[in-house]
Amino acid sequence: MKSILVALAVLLGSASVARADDPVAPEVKRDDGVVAVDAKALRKTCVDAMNADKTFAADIVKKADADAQQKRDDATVAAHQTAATEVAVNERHVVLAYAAMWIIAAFFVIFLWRRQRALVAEIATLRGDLTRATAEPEAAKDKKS
Amino acid sequence: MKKFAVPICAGLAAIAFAGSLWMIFQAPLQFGYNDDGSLNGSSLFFNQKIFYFHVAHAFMLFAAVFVAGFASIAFLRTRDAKWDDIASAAVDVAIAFGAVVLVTGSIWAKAAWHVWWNWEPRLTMSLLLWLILVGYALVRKFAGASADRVAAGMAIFGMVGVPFIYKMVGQDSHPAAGRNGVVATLQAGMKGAFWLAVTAFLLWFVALVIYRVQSIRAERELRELRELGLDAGVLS
Repeated sequence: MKSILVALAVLLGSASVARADDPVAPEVKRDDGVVAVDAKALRKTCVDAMNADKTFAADIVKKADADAQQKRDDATVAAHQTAATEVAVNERHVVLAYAAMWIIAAFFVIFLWRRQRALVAEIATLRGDLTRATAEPEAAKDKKS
Repeated sequence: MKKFAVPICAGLAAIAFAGSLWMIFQAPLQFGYNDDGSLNGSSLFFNQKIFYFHVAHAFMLFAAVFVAGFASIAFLRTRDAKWDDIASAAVDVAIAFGAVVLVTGSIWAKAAWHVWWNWEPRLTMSLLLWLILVGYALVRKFAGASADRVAAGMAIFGMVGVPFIYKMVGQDSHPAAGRNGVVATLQAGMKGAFWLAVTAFLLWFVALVIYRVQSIRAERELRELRELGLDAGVLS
């Protein structure tokens, strides 16, 4: 218990010492007589303090870069997710278009093939009929003679 | 050689088609970002895979219409039936290719613009061209003795419309054509797949036209045989 109290006393003492070392905030007396903090001077003090500490300036730049990179990464991930969704949705259209192409081509080829087959068959029948028709009178002539 | 022209062209087309299919699905997805990391409005992703066949069919449609147009000019000048056969065959094939262009285009429009159809110049002109081709086929079937000459005029009329569809309609919902157009500025991974698809459909187009010409010649032969049959009293 005694040692804890000693440690507390040392801690508070060191804190008060540190506060005493801090630069005093510049003050300015306004027209109405009130003493206020001089914001401009305070800002300059802060900037000077930050510039003096090179590690601190580098840390700020590092943090800003990391935040910007994170933002870009998030946008890229979102874009790819949208792309993946678009691809999935569009599959239906591609399948429909390819099916339409095949169906039209198949109908056309079947139409041409059936027509050609019917033509060839009809030509063969007619040729046969004509051959017989021309052969019969000649055969009759031969019989008579 | 003539006998094997159709199977050779169809076989080569099938090989090229299989190759193009593989390349198309290996090709990168089409999308881009704005400066702020957001997706730009022209990103089509997987949907862009329709492009390879839609545009290739459109090219073949234009090729078929040009073949029909020039063959019709030759027919009107020479009155040689072989040119008429080629024109008629090319138009039949153009109707099939045109149907694919319109249907796949409509599906693409639904995915990209969220509408099945809009009356923008290129779409409207493409539909009109297709209707002219259907009109050509109907004229050939029902217009009687002068059908070949009337149809030839229609084919030439259709051919004149093609440059308007391709280039002269100006800026619309479709991407630009020509030197700075979407085909000319395709990414390296997409270019090979696209031109292989065009080659496949060109071979397929040639095979279909040759096959259809053979069919039209058979129809002519049948007409001649029927006349002979009527003369001989075989047909009544």
